[in-house]
Amino acid sequence: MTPGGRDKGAIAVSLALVALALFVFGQLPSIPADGGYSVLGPRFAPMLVGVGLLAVGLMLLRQALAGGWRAMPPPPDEPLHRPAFLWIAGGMALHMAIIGTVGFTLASTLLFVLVARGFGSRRPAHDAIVGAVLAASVFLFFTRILRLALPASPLGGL
Amino acid sequence: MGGLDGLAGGFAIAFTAANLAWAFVGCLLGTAVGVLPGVGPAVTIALLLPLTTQLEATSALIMFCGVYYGAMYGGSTTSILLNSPGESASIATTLEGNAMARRGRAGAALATAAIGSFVAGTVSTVLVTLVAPPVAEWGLSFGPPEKFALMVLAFMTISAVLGHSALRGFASLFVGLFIGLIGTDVMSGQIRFALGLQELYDGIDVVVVAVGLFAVGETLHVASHERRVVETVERIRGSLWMSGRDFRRSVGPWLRGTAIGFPFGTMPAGGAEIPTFLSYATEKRLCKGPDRFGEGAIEGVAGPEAANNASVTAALIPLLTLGLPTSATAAIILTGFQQYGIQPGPLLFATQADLVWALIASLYLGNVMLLVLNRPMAGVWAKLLTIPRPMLYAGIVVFATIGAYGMRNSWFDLFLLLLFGLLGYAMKRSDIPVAPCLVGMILGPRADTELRRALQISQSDFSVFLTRPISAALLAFAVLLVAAPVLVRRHNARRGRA
Amino acid sequence: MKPHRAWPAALVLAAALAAAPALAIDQMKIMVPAGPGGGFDQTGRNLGAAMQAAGAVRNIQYENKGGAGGAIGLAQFVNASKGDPNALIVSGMVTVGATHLNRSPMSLANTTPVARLTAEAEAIIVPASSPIRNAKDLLAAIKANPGAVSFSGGSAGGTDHILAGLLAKEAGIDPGKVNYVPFTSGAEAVAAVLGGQVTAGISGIGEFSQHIRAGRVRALAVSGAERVAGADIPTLREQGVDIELVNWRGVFGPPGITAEQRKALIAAVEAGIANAKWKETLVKLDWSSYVLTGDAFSGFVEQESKRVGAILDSLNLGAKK
Repeated sequence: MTPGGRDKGAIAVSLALVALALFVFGQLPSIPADGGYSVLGPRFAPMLVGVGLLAVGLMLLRQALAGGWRAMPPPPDEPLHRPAFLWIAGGMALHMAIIGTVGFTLASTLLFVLVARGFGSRRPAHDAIVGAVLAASVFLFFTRILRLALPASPLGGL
Repeated sequence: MGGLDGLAGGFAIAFTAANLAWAFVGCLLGTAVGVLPGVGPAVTIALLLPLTTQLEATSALIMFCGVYYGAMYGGSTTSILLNSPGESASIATTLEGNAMARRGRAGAALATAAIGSFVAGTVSTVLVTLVAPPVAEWGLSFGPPEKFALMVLAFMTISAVLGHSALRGFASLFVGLFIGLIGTDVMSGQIRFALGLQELYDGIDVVVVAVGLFAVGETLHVASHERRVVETVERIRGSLWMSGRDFRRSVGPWLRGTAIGFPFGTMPAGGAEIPTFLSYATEKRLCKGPDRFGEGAIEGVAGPEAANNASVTAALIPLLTLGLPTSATAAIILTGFQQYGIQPGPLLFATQADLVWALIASLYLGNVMLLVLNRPMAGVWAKLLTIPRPMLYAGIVVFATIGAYGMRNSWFDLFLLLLFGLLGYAMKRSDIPVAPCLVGMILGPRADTELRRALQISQSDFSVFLTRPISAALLAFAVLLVAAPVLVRRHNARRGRA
Repeated sequence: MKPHRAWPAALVLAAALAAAPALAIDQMKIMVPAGPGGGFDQTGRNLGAAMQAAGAVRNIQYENKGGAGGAIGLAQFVNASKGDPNALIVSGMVTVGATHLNRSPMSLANTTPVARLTAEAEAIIVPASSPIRNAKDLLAAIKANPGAVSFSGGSAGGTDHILAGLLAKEAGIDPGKVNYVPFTSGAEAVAAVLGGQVTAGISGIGEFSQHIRAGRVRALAVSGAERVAGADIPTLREQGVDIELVNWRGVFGPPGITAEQRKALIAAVEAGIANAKWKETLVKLDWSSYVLTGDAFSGFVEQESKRVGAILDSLNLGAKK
């Protein structure tokens, strides 16, 4: 990774902190300031946090623009492996979207396969079997032993 | 009830077949997750919380403490056999432990780690037995001003002391404080930052945040940046035991490690990382032939491992007596208590005497179990390290989603899990420490509440923070902690010019 | 199990089923609008077990959906179980307050009340060394200087806060002026009293009884209609303070069920609370029975919602979105 690329990341994170601070300030008017017998009401802590976020964000931004954050450990030599990242994050997004309709076991099995794929596994059938056994055992443990509900498949049961 | 009477009663409860079994399960599970990279005790206990619906409070909490403890024993196995720490408190052990393993002394390293953990754990448990009841009594005099001051001190230590940069520590803290503010304000019943979403009215669950930041964030990082890392598991060759000489060299570091670790555990500074490094540095300085450090000096394993366990045990004092968690895992155990409607705090020793003493008794038993388990099962634990990474991390992610989803069956929690996973990844990439975020999230709203409680009771008289001696002392210490480095630097700069 | 071995078991099962009331419900769903382990959860699961023990219900599936004082679970129940004759939700006083405070679109008015089950009286305590001896002293102190009398208790707008507001009102003070300091748990509220941080504490009597017996605190009054068994504490009414308030819990059916279906649900619940298993639960968890069913219960819920709403509005909890 080039040093320039690293700075971009630092600038982005600093800006995100500043943006969060601005969001906090934007919400302040909707929080009442009155605290009854206490002069400080529910608005005080958010205000303090907003100020803190802004201060820290701006200081980090200054460092980032002036050549990078200070006291950073040496950057790892491996660049981002984008497909791996997307397999996993995408897998979790898909899992969240389908768990209500296809049920717990199927959604979790699919998630297992996708995460394993992100780690470079090339044996989807094998992963599916391992994932299904794991998910089914957890499902049975939750619903039969703990008696907590988990979404079943549209066919009922697992 | 006096400490010793209580403890005797506690042993009677802990020695029932069921509780012994749960302690054993906890220790076993804890050691396993301590060995496995990517999943630690906080995440594991978070995932076990649903068990609270079926288990009795005593059994469940005994098991959770077993996990907490076991993970510390297990962590050392990974550090020694694999040149990568199983959890953050084992980083210091990795330095000498792995060097020993490469030189064929894995057995001795594992032994000194296990016995050191046992010594430190047992000595610290004795201290907890003696110290906790009077601290609880004293804790009653902690009113809102003292609690507020204590939390301010916690924020300062954890942000300014941990990590490479105090500024990034504070960035993490403020993000955590913001997360903590989301939801219903205890004092006014007002809802803050929920954007009208009912799912956010009770705030964001600490389980989702912890599992997201740690387990999911770590998984994303390992998958996308550590693909080429080849991990070699060192074989356990040679003797499984220590020689007499090893033993003599270990005794000092064990005791010093315990002495360093214990006080740190009682302080709200977020975990066992600092004392392990302090112990490492101490042993390095004391070691007669310092050249052997770096090549596998047994002192460098014995000390940090003892410090680690001592601080983990000591963390139970603020947790049980003040209801104040000082690490991520302690925070999750606190949630476990609350599942049963039990609030750790000064009254716990009065209202739940049986439970507390059974828990403390189980710590003694757990240490013995772990010591016994550790030796014959070293080979099994080493086997765990050979689980292929795709299977291991896929399993971790699946369990993470169960932990987030299982409690209230809401896809919204899965969304938050992914969000915090991405945040954890970004923090790891930017070298922003995660612990201040978690502690800020947990203690932030409580600090806000205690501040306003103090002012409401005093009817807005700010002097309560300074006229009450404990509160004043704690606040002064917090200010000193932030100001001292700046003043020292300025002083040095002036001298440099002169 | 081998087939021939299964026969006797099947016969026993058939006999057991024949013995059960004809109206037995085959598959019931109970929504617990709180996390596992709390009071709502225990109420739901123990009632369920008792109904099963009585043979009134065969299978029960529990769903925990915590959040916003029960409002999230309630909203889902009303939407998803509409017209389902075999569904129940656990609810109570806490949810009445929470839905009002949060301006929740769903309230208990959207359900079909089935049965009130249990009640816990509130107790008012002071430190053992306090000069306040009884409820009248307390009212006088509030009247003299409301800011100087601080109360510790549970969450803002909860049952404890409501009682503090009612006390202020009795003292002739604006309920919004009461110096009420909320805590997240009863245990913390007690610790504040024991540590002398506040003037008085209010919570469910269960939270206090141990400390009252140990003499660490003094109980001024209980808030129910009668004294609580095993505790020699006068009620507010006995002391001439016209307040009665208990923290009750009950079960509700979904909207859109017929009168017949409601009757069947009531019958099942009644069979459950008549069972020995439920009585054991009451003893084990120190709950008092406070049963009221059908239309009488509906009337109670309506009245309670009005009363709680009015007092909450006067507590100065600020405007909600």
